[in-house]
Amino acid sequence: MKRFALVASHISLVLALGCGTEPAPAPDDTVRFNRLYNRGLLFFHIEEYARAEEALRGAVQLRGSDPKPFYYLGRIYLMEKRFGKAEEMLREALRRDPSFTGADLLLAELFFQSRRLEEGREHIERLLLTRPGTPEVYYQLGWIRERQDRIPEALEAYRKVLEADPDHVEGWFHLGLVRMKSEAWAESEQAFAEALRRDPEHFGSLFNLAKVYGRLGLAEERREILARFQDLVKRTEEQIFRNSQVGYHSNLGITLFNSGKYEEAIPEFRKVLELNPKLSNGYFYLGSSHLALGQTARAMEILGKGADLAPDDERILTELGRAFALAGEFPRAIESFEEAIRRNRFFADPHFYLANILKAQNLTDRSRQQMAEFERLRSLAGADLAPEE
Amino acid sequence: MAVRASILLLFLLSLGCRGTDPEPGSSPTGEPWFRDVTAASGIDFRHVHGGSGRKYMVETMGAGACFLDYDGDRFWDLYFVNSGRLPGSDLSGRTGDALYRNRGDGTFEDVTRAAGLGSESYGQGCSVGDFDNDGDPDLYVTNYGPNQMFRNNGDGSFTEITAAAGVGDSLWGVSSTWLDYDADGYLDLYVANYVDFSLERNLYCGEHRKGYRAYCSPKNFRGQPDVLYRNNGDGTFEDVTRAAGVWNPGGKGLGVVAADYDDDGDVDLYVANDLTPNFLYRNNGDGTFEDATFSSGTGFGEEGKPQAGMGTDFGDFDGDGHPDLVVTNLSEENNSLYRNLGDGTFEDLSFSAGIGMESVLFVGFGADFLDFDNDGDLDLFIANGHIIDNIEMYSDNLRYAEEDFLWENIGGGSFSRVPVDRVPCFFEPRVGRGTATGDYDNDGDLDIVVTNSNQEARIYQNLAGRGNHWIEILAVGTRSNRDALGAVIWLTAAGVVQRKEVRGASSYASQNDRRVHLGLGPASRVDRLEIRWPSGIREYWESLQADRILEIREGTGTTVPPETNPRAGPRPSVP
Repeated sequence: MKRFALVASHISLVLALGCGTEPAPAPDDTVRFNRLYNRGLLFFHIEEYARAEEALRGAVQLRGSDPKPFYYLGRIYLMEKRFGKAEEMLREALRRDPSFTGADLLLAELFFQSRRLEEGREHIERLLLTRPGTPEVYYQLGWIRERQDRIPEALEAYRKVLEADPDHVEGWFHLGLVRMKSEAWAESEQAFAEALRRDPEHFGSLFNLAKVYGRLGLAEERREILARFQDLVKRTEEQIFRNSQVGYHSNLGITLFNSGKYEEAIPEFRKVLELNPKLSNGYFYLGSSHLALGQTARAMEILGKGADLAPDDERILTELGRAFALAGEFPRAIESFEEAIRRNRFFADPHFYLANILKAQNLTDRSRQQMAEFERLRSLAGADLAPEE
Repeated sequence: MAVRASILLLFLLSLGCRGTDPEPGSSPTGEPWFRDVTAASGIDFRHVHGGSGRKYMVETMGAGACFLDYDGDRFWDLYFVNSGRLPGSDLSGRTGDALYRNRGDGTFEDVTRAAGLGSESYGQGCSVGDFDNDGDPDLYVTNYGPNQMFRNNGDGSFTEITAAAGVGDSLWGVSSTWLDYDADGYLDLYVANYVDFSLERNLYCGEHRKGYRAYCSPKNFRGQPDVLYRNNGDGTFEDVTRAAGVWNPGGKGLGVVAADYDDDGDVDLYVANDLTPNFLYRNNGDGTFEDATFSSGTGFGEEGKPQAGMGTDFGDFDGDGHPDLVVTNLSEENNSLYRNLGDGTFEDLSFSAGIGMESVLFVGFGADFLDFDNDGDLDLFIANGHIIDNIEMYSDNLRYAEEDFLWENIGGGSFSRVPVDRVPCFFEPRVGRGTATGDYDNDGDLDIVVTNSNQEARIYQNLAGRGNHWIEILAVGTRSNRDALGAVIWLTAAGVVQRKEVRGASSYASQNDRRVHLGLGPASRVDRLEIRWPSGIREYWESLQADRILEIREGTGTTVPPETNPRAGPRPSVP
């Protein structure tokens, strides 16, 4: 299965890159590329990685010469610890733009995360030659030297980070850590204080500054910093708990939804929206649950809210189209499906529904066209991507 | 190249598992230091998690094992906890817990039925303690579902007394440990509970693609409070969690260990929590605890964030007289080694000690400090195994079955991983969970038992300790609890002082041989042995012959003159 997925990704890459010189993109494609790329970034930043990946792969298909979608795909795969795919994407990005520092740094990060430390170090040293003065390069070098317990070299690297970028919070934090390891308490205190000046809620700096104050015998200062740290941990735990509750109810709702238990799923999605009223996924599933129960008017209302909140969300637009169709409002349904396709032409489902409506309206040729597009997109996605339930 | 390397590895592995014994007393060069003797030992225990593809979170946990001498013959027996059936399971054959009696000749026999054991509950962990001070070890078993307690009848059988004792906590218990926190001479019980997962509401986690369903993270669930049971001394227990100051509903407890980390004469508690801050509870000496998590620095990783704690152990690895801490964590994190600075705070030495980087791609569970080579310092064993059984689909270089780590203490606060040619059996990938160390063959070195999730447990015989001297102390309390849990031992040999404690369960859901094992290196005599009993009595013995197992009863040594405050004097009176 994994190999199949890899082959499939190669095929889509080859399709995206095409053979020989790439023709200049049509203006229409530029608009679509920008839309997909921006969607990819949006989903990336709200940590919906599967959807980000889908959009970015669409962007790659539209414009294979642009390194940025490859870079973000690399970031997604790296976060998912799919190191092979991440490396492939980052190297593709660098092939298109050898001066792409972000991709190069991420490649170094990949070496570290996959514990290829020596490759990482060599990579960083090459980067130091081509990009002297880049703080992130020194930061990565410092990080690896710190992990290898080569403290003087780590110290030197972090100092260079801060020479190049005096506002580098992580640079100050790690400088504090390595100074702690050398028992240079005063320098360590100063470094953590600098980090906290730039980010007053920096976990590591608060946590370690309290230790440094302990070593320096500054009991009052230690108490104060520990109290700040404790308060931060408490607040963060509450936030994590809140997010986990969104995840909990969302996952439970989706599980129930996929088992066809729509009535049981509805309260879960309501809870999701209560906790986070801006989560478009919540509207999608809540609306879809009502739709599955034949509560079309309610579904239209909820999906309409979702579409207002996330006008780019092709899944909500598609579900809204289905709701209109079930309510007999075919023009609005067609409009909705077409909008979904405009938002993401690689999303297969609206083509299918549109084909059926057009067929019912005896618009046979247009219907066939849409169905053919649906089939094409399904086959592109491959069996590997077929939903399980 | 890769094929050649694999063949070479297989060759080494096959050599290792059938390796010949080094000569007793000789330097252990050339031969493997441990060998897998599972088949020869007669232990055929296989853990089953009951999974059927529904990805119930409980399937990921594995279960632990405990060393105990249930029949008093001075050969340590083994109890294995099993998990078992879940909705959708299609299991045939045996699924319950198992007790193996040590025959004393290197082999074990399954005596589960005869002992009246073999619980079919969905088991997680065990701990052993003589709660009624009648001279035989009793058993506590944590379950997904109500926990169980079994009283040893003293005739080779056990009776379940959960309801009468009032210790059937029904939250998801994973680890537990016996300790006499109030020093009244009766063992109390701490149970680490995990999260509020429910079989009835089994979430879908992972990608919604065929084959990609994954186990849920603890983040998806609320934590559950741990429980402290006070032993009333009459066969019943009282839940004193809130009164003792250890009620904390945010924790997601997996591992627990008790030790006197601040050397003030009472036993403290450390709990490894999964993705929430670990807890360090300092015993105030008045029946209550103070939460020292923040002030000690042991609740978090180096970057000030909670990690996914699994197993834990206390041990004075640097020989400075203060018990240090190890905590195993998830992959992408690192196993944590906290050095006790002796002032109530700890420093994180994970990377500088050498164990941090190596652990980043592994999920650590069981963890034990042990002096495997009898050289007088504490080494470290860690069992690894990922949680997600299809992790290979999600990640290129994480694996479900993983190697275990044996770290040799090389002095200077550092460890070095023992390589494959010395411990080939630890390089065979398995889904490691619980670990228990004990001298099952009474030959003076510590052997290792590892439980593996949904796989056979393994028993590894130590061949490395034979070149050095040793002593093992079986402490017996008379005024203190009979197991002497919480007693602190200072041993001086050839000018070196070692500090050890008689301890209850630790690691992950498991318990070691209760005898305190001390490697002596080249020293063939112990100059002085001092014990501070949980009762506060301090006494010593001098000029003891090495290389033997010594039973020491409270009140039989030379008393150390009483101090004004017996809790104030942690150091041995004569160095």
